[in-house]
Amino acid sequence: MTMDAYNLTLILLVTLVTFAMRAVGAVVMARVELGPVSSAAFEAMPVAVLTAFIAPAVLSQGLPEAIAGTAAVLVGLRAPMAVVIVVAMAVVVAMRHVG
Amino acid sequence: MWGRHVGARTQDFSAGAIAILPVLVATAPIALLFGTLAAAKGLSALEVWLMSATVFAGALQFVAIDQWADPAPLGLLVFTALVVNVRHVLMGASIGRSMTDFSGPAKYAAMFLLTDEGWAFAERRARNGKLTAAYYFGIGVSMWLVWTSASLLGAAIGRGLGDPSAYGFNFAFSAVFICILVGFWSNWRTGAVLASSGAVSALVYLLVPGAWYIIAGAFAGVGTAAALHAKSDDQTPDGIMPS
Repeated sequence: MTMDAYNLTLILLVTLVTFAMRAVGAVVMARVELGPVSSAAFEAMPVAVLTAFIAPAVLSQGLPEAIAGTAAVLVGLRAPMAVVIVVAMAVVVAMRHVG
Repeated sequence: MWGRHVGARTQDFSAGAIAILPVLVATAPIALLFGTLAAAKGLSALEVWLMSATVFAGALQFVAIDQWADPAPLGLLVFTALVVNVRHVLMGASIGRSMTDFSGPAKYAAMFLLTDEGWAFAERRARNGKLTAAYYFGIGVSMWLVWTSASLLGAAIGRGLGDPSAYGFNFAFSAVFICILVGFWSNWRTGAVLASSGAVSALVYLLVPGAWYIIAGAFAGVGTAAALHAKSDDQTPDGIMPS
């Protein structure tokens, strides 16, 4: 087990930047009071961020991912998450073999 | 202070850990692959573990290892960390508002453990009731344990199980996020936010290199929500007022 001084510095530097990003939003926004419009904006934030996060992974990768994504939505309306994961994985692998 | 008795805390902690279990199953092979790739780039097992333990950000770690050389480019890696993780500012700003139950130090610890998956589960919990610190740490600590031990294992054995994407493991995360999104649906406004955010994100992803599509899509969705609210209630938009 070795630890290079340069690698250690680099890892800690990236850790610092990553932590700053994670902390700044929560700490600053907790002190901010919101009006009605910005409250509505904040309420939409989970959906907006989550959608923006996954849209390319589902829509821009090709047909297998798009079809598996659609399957996940349909199965997700009824079934528990574990089932949705297995179905989506199966569909994406099967479609990749077909396509 | 958590201000609740130990039984309820333990129960919430377990509830968080159990909720995230499907994600843990999908995370383990990905972490194993990370350890393998990092070891192949010349990092020692201890360095791989340290990176997973302190950076604790899957997407960034893969990008960083991809750019890793001897010596690793410091400026580039720090800039990459900024760009790849800027989405956490938005996620933190959103979930931070539901952390009323968290003490000061607990909040910082919680933000250290922030992951995309953990964040989505915490948002879902906050929407369906109350997000306690115990529940959050049930998610965060179990994610941390799986991520660190599996990446250490990957680095130590030096060979993964092959490419997890061949088995669709990378798409498992998309399925998790889709599930959580489906649960967030309330009315046509949700649809409007979803459509604008998704369309802008997918478009920016194709046009602009880097991780900017997340920020662009998020602002499109949030902007749509604000515009719809302003239109329906005709109230004076008073913006963000510092208290």
